[in-house]
Amino acid sequence: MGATFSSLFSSLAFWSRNKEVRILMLGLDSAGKTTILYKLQLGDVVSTIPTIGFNVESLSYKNIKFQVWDLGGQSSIRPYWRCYYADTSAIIYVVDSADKERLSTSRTELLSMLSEEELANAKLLVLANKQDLPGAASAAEVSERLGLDKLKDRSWSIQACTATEGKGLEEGLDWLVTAMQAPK
Amino acid sequence: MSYASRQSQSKAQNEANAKTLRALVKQPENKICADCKRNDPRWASWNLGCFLCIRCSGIHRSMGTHISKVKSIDLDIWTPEQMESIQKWGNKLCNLYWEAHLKAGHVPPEHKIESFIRSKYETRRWAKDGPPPSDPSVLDGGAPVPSSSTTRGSGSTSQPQQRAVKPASAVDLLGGDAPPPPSQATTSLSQPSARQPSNLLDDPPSNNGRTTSGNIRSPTSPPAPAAPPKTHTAPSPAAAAAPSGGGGGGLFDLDWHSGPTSPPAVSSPTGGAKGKNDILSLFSSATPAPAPPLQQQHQQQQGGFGGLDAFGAMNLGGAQSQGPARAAQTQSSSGLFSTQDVWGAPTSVQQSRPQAPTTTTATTTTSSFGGGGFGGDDIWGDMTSGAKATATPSSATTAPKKDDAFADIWGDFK
Repeated sequence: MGATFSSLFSSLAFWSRNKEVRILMLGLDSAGKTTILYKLQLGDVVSTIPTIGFNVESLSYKNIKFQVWDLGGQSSIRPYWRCYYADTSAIIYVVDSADKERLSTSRTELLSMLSEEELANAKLLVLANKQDLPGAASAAEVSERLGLDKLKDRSWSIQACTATEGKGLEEGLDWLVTAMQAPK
Repeated sequence: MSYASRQSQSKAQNEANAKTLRALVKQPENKICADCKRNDPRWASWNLGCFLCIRCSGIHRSMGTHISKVKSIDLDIWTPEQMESIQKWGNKLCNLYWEAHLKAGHVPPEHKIESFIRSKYETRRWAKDGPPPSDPSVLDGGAPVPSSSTTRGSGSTSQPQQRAVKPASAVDLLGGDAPPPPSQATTSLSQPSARQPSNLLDDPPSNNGRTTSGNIRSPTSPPAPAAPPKTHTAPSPAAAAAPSGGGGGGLFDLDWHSGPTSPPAVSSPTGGAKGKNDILSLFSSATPAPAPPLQQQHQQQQGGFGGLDAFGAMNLGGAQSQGPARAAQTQSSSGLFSTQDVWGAPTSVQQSRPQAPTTTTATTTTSSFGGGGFGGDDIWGDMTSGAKATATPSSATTAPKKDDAFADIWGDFK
């Protein structure tokens, strides 16, 4: 309960101070995190290389300033995600919907991440990316494969998107903004 | 975090895999990126089975996992399935398949890498017909999976004949139409950088064997039409192939080829047993003895091809795609890189040495020039045959000239 109040306070404080909201963008390698980050920030599709380490950018959406951290997703650097958990308001978890073989790996990583105490109050937006690719799983299918409906005590949503076309990204952010403004 | 992947196989297994992968990327053919033919590959597409630089790996990722599944050599944990695939393929076989119809030795220009990669894998523009074979070794005429040991292993003098027979089957596998032969030659050429040295240091017989097989793949071309010296087996097929193909790639092809093949040319006149020593001496230190005959040969050839000037002109063309990028890379990259780069740009480096001390600078200039000359979208487009022909002597000329830097390069590959 105490945690709930303090998080409410801190989130209110965020708005009042107009401070940046810290968001982590996570997901397996090649899910499209960096592409999404720069599509959001620049409105352009940049050609990316695998992220070793992280990218961090500030962006404004609906008068809210986000500080978005895009962390590399290679298997051996996923353990370092935890170093960024503190003070995280929301997680954007990106999934390559066309890479069905690795949906189970993606699920495992997601669940292990959500079990971390530091992220107990973080909102979760799952982006089912790469909807333009042949055989891409629908948002519903991704949701099921990730076991989202089994999540307890988590404010979450899933949004189908195609980062390279910008489709679905704003809808996803809209949910985030609403979710973060809502009292827990 | 990633305990899932880590738990699924033992730590020991992961370490063993990592070791295997690091060994794989040290193999000559895997030392340059399978696509751009330049950078140091620390990434791989495990389903395609090729090793890539980080830039090209990014492009692979953008195509989607239905085409390429990219993993890091250093930052990823590999499953047994992934290991099996990458081990049975490798850059050489991968390009034997995906660049089967691409001109030999083609190096895509820097600014076209993305469209090159998409053409190569998405639209299968140069791929062999049919799906990738489940056993990729058939692409190489049934030879065992490539490794430096394989190349070196064949010490016996009977090797050439055996090889000569074998390729017949290779021809079948590769299909009979015109493009394949050059491409075949290419593939071996596409990763030649590291390979050359091992060839050079090899016994001449085995070397001949290699080149011979190249010959056989293009049965229409006489064994050694282009080259006056009989032993110039390798250049000859390439030269023969180049005009027919008419692609710019042929140029590069020749360069690659001539590197390794020129030494045999020298050695063969001297005689089988002696040959090896001669070759070694050529590259290890400045031994005057073998050099003179070589140069004579070259001069002859050059005359045949229109002389040094023509050669120089060719240089321009050849350098175009490689030159600029190379130069940049060498500066910015590590020692390891630069070694590769030296190989990567045989045209510029090799040619320059024997002829004019200034050449290095010349190449840089040429490169920009070449870009203009090349101009259009079609890198694989046409290149004058004259240029190609000249390529042979050019690289050959390099052989006699060996200085310390050169020796170091060889040393790297021993």
